[in-house]
Amino acid sequence: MEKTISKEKTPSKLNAQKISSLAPIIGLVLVVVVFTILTQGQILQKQILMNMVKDGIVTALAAIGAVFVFGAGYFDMSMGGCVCFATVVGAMAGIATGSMTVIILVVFGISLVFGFLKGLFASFVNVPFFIFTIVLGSVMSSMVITILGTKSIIKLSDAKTELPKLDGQTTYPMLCLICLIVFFLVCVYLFKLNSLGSKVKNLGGNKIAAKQSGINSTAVTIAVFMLSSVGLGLASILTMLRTRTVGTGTAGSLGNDIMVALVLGGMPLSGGPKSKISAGLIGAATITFLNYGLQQMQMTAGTIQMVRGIVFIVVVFISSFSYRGKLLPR
Amino acid sequence: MNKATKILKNIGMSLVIPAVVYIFFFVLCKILGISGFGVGTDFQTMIYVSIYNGLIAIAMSINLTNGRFDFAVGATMALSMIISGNIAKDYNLGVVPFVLVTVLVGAIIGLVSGVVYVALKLPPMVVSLGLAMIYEAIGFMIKSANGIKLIGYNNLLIFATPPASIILIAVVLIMMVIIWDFTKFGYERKALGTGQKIATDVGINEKKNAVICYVIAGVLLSLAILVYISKYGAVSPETGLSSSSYFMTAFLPMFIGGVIAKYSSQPIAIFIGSFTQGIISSGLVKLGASNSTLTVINGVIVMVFLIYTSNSYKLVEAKMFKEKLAKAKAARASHSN
Amino acid sequence: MKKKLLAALLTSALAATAIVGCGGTSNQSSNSGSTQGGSTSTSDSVLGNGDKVKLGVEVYDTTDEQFLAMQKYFDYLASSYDNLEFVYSESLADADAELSFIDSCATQGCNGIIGYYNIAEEAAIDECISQGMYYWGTQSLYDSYADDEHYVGCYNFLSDVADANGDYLGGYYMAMGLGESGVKHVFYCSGGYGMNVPMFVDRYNGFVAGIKAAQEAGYDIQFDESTDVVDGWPDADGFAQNVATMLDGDYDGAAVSFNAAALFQPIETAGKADAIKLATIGEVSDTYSFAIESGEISTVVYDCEEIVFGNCVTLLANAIQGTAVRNEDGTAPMIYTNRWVVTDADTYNKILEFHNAGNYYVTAEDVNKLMGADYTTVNDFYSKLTIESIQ
Repeated sequence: MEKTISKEKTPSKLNAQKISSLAPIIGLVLVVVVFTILTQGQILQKQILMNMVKDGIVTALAAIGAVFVFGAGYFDMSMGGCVCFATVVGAMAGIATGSMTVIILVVFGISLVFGFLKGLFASFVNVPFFIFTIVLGSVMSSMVITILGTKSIIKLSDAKTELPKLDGQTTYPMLCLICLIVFFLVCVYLFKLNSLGSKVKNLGGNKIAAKQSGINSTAVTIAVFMLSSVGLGLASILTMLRTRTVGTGTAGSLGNDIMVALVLGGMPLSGGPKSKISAGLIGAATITFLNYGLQQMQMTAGTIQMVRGIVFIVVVFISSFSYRGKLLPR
Repeated sequence: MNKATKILKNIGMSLVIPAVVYIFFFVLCKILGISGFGVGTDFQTMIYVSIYNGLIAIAMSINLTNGRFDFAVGATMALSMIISGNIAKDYNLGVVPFVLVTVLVGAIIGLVSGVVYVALKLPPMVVSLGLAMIYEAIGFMIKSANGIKLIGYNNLLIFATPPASIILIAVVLIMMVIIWDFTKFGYERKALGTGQKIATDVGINEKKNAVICYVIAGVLLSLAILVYISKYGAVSPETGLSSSSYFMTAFLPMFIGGVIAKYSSQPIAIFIGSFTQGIISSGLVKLGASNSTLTVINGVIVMVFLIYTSNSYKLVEAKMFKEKLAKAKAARASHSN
Repeated sequence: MKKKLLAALLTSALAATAIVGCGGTSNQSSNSGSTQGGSTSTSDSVLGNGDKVKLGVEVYDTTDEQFLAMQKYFDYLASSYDNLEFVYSESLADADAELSFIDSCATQGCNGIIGYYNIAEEAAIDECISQGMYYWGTQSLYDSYADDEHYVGCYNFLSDVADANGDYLGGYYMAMGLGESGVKHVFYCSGGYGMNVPMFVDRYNGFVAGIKAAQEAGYDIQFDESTDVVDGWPDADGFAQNVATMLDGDYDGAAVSFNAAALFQPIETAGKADAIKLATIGEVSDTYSFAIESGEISTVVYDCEEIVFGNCVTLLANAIQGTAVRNEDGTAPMIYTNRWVVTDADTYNKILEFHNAGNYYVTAEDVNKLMGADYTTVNDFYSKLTIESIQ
């Protein structure tokens, strides 16, 4: 009788994989616990939590939408440039017309057009997409300089008629929370309860297999980029409402922040079946809490960055147990 | 075609892109009455830009061709010079010890990057992102965020102009060609680049190869920042992942190099690509383009080359298909006769 | 094995954070300069009536020489007084980051913000005020906030140049300095002018006005706006090419709207160290000392940090402790200071050695004496500190 090699996973293997898939949540909980202790509970004050919502909302919205893009196996580094472009053009339109409706329409319109074009490009043009988006982001930021002409910033207070000004302590944080919850729930539905989610994961796992199993990769690709654009549009509007000043520096670090958030949230950057819709939210929460905690402890800028880097690598390392292979990853 | 003819053809094909670009801008500037393009100090600046960007591009391509994108390029450069420059300043080193210390520090930082990557087995982009934060933090903390200023240390800052810059790039290119094309490491690197699983299955030690790649990249990046500080005299630390934009200038040389690479060794091809980028920058500056216009034009050119290099195989495929079809038709015709 | 590794990693991450967190806060040394996060005191002395004065400092670039010098001064003040603390931002990339920092300061118990940098403009000041903190700075918005009790004022410069803010004056004095030193043909490194950054636009406009003034004063200095401008910074595309073009020309002077150190080596490499005089807006630091001695730098437009920016502590501390310095009509004051235009090595080295020895022209005791003082006393104190007065 041939000896069959058992391929059943041992309990310890299962436990390690389960722990590693929970690593982002564990990381978030640990960060909260550690800084609660170190700041003697100060960090859990209502005001600070509201501030964290205000600070983390842009990254969270963009990262939640980006899960679809990354999940489908595309690497979009142009999100910061897109937000900057949409915000500036939207603000210019709003200042010229004095209408918040115009701002919303222009911002979402531009974001969706960019999403559509990126989706088309990704579907039909064979290029290393992330390099393309890195260059695209930088080109869009340069185009903003040209659009702004003789100014480096524009202010909503220069609008023809006064644009709504939200109270930064109550109304604005509540609006942020509502946008976040609604967008997150919609994305959870689309990712987990709708066929789009499984199609995204299939596409990210293996494009050829996905196409051959009947998935319309062009339609899915365009859909994921446009979904991501909705998140970017929301991020643009909320940024504008908060700062009321936009310019060439708007969303300058968003691209990096999204990547850090997704990775901290346990999202495999190559996408595929192990993608998680929660990654964007958990990662954004973790990095926001970590930043706040380090600031509350009045650490030096260098120390803050050092701790950020260490925590980032450790959390990602632990969460990578669930998708590690034999070969070195690329 | 005999060997000599082939070599001449390869040299010609390798130089055709920069030659065409140079002639284009030269003629355009002449027509518009703009003097000074591509001669004298303008040509020297082209050389400087080519060497600086070329070193970064070659360093990035070592890992990029094996699927490893390194976000920590800028952080590695800044940290290596902040450490080696301060050592040179504090211990009054001469130029040769300064270069050796710079190379050593670059190699060590590269080694750390490589070891962390192979030990943690994380996607290289992720690892490099975390390491970029850590390297930036270390560079920031050294000498209380003052970075390094070697202004006035003219005996050390000789690598922005000939002959030192030419000697530097010549030595680097010769060594890289040897490593790339004539060593076991180079063959294994190419094998891993084209087929990771097969290469490891036949016994290539991927981890060792990856670490060596990172070490070489670290050395090249430290030489790039050596050229930079020779030009400007100072390097400031970076924070907030702002160093991640350093790699932007490396894309165009890599993609032009990708086009030329079939006629020449890859490091040389990339350097020629970098020289072409230098010509384009100089030409556009002479024509009065602003910095943002330069960025947009450079970006468009990068995209064009990116699309070409990623899809050029389709042209080859189409040509092969055509030839095959013609042969089949000819065979059918002769058969029916 | 994996469980143990997991546990070890989690524990080490926690431990690293805790250790670094407990060890990486505050400092007391006035010479350190490494205290980026915050500075506190080991002294028993108190500032004013002893009420806590905790100030957030907004920073654009935490590696900038001027900021580092200012921070060193603040560290010195913080080490002198038990109730004085500073909290520094990281490099603020955009308006969102600035507002986040202001919120963070509020939750850390700050009662004042030093607007050393402001990109969010009114939104930043409004946020500060809504959080119950006092705000110092942003001269461009003075008229909008002068009546607000939470806006404590800003600095301005004494000069006979009409409608000139600090940046405009910086450009102006560079042009005048080069004219006075005999420069005939100058090129200008405009930094962020091409990106319409207001600071660089003002410096450029001031420079152009300064050239005109120098010509009217009889100096034979030439500057062509269409051909004699280098845009951008050393890392920008085309900067190296543009500088090379200029150095190839017949220029004998260069004005740099940012750190002139970026031009030293290119000039040296071009073999023109004896031929081109530089003017810059910058710090009196070791960076330029050899250059001003050799004559390579002819003009350093210097904002002495304890005078130009240091008055923020006086104004904010007074407001926080209930003895706000106001104009007679109740509006926020402008403290008129002097921009020091350093044109000779002796003066440069005098200032450099004074600071390097840990001394300041506005000492901690001086700041304490200004607690409870009226506007005239405070303004007179700062405005009398001229470059001549320190000779």
